[in-house]
Amino acid sequence: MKWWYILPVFLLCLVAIGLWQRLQRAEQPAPESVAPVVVNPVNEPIQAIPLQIALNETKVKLGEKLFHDPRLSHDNSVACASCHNLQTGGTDHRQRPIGINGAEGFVNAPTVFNSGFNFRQFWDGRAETLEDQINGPIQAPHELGSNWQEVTAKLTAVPDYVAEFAALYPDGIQPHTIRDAIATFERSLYTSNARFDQFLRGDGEVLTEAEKAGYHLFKTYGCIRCHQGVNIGGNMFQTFGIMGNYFADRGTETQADMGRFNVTGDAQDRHVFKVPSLRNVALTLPYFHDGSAARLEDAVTIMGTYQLGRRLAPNEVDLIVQFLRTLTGTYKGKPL
Amino acid sequence: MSAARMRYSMIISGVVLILTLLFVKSRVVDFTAHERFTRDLRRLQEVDTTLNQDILKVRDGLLTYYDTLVTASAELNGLYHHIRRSIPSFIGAQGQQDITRLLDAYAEVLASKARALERFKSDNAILKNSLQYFPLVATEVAEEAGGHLLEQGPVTELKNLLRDLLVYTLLVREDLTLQLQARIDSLSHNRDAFASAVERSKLDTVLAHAQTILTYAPRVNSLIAELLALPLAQRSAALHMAYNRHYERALRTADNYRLVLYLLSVALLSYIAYIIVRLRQATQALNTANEHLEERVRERTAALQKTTEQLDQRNQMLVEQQQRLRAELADAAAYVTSRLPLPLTGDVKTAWQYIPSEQLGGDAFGYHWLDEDHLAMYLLDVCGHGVRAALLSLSIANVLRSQSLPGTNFYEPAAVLQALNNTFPMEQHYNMFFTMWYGIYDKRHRRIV
Repeated sequence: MKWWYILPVFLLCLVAIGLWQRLQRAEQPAPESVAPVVVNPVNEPIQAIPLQIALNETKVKLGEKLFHDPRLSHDNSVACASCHNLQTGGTDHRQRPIGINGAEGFVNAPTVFNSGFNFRQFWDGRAETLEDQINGPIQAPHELGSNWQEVTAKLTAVPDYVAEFAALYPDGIQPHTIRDAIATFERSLYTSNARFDQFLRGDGEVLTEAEKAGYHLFKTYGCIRCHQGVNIGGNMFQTFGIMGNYFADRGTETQADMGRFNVTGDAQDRHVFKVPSLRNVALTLPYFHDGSAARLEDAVTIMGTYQLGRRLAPNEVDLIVQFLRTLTGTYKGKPL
Repeated sequence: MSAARMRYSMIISGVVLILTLLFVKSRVVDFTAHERFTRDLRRLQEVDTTLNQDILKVRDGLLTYYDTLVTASAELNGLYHHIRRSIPSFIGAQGQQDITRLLDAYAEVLASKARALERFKSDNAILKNSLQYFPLVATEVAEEAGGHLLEQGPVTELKNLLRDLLVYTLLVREDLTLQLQARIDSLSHNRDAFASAVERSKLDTVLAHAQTILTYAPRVNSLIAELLALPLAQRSAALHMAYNRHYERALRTADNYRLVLYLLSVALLSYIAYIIVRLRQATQALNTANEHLEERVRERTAALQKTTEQLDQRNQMLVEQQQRLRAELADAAAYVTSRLPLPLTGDVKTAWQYIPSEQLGGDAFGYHWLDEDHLAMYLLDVCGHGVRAALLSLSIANVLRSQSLPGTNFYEPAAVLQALNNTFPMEQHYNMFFTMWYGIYDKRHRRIV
């Protein structure tokens, strides 16, 4: 009749399980969290870019490699970097980018620098995140013209990639891990320590009087109403042509000129675009979604006319442009 | 394995299974998940409040950039998606359904808020720009025109427009809308009045900004009203309440399971105690039975001993009796032997050896002098052995010795035998008979008759 010994033993087991569960709970690792970007607020509408942003360096390296890899395009001819050339301000300096088979895009390629600070991606803001955004160019026939199946297959054939992905992601090479690596790299493309940021941090001597006058005009003339925040833009939508009909004056309206309307179908979103960042704006020519303004002065003038309802005098434009040139920052410690 | 054993092991596995089930059910509420979930729900309300404050700050010009609005909006969105993914698993199907439904409702409002927020950001930028520029440009035009024009009516009109528009925006006097629109329209019609003094396009700019203010001020106000009126806080409060309700229900259920587990454990322990008590009782009963058994064995042994003693006693008696009988027999035998005649000495000598087959025998012999010359000799054998035969043979021998057969000539053997035959008929003597030799020795004549 030894059987009844089992029951006290079993009750002991229950107690043991309880204790074990308690221990297990304590052992649970804190979920990996992306450290929020801390911006030290200054009493200005423009905020300085943090000097350091903590990111997984291995992911950044892998993302950089992918960013420059033309195998992400259907015919292995175009990489992300083809149109977002880091040597030329993260843009291609073309009015419209050229994809595979020489196909031309519909809008100007925006800079990839500081894109991590943008609240949406694309001129029409159709992508909520950088990860989302990557789906666009990869699959657009006039850009990389590929698809995720093709891209993952090509990358899986490269032993280096297999090893690098395996070291970072349990899932290995997958569309979402490719996107994560590239987006992490893009988040590392912040250009801190621009002369203007030094000014914001309290160094009053770093700007010339003309540049300070330019900044004053920038604020008093209303540019600051849209181009504000850490990215001097990139955090709101605005109609192009508030105080005048830009598109009628320019002529030949395209589908792309409809802007956010193409995303929402809302009549109020006609000609609405994401306000672009003015960081490194001196290097990201040509300007606007249509790349119609080749010079910064042209862009400032057009903005004054159609957005602010102001006719800016050439010397005012010049001052504003001088201010805008102070927004060129450094990447990896070197000026862009 | 026997059937009883099988049944026992099945009962044990059943009990173990039920206890395990109750244990698992009683621990179903994951407090870490609950903590996280409620933290997210609280954060949802906090962020929404901060967002609303920031919206008002932006309207009042206390906040001159939108990054905080963007961050708050993104955080709300992120929180919403996170909450949706992490509804704790201890919430029952009904709860999951309720919470998901409330989350859907929340998402709807959140999307409306995000849309309104985007419009607010855009429209506010436009309004603020015109509000900043319009007074400057209007004053500039008025002064320019005032210096040149003889007719000051339109200039006054422009000044009135400036004043009213500022009052309109500062005090949110939407009742002035129509009046203001009329002023703008009239100035627009009378543009030619300024023609000689001010560039037409400059006047157009003034009017465009005035129109912008008139259009965008109520829009921005209504957007702010909408943003603050959107029931995001109520929805998240409803969400929190629904979650709390289902959380408490889960707690209660877990408590019930815990209670049942407790009761079952107590019952089980009582049962085990009962079994121990019963085992002890059984052992005691066994011990008592054991003691009784010994007693009984003792009793039986005693009885057996008594019987044996009695038997021994009886045996002893028998032996004694037998000895007595044997002694009596020996006495009888000695007597019988003593009755045998002594060996004769003189002229006639006799010698004998008498060995009976038992202590007493039916054999006898004798001799005696009838007179000086005649010696009577006889030998007889009664049939059978033992006391009976001995008694008969002794009687016969006595008869012969005492010559007590009346009328019989003891010198004549035939007559003696005839007389003895008549005296001891077989029928009167227990069916015993005897054979006998009887003779007379005549010493004188030296012959046996």
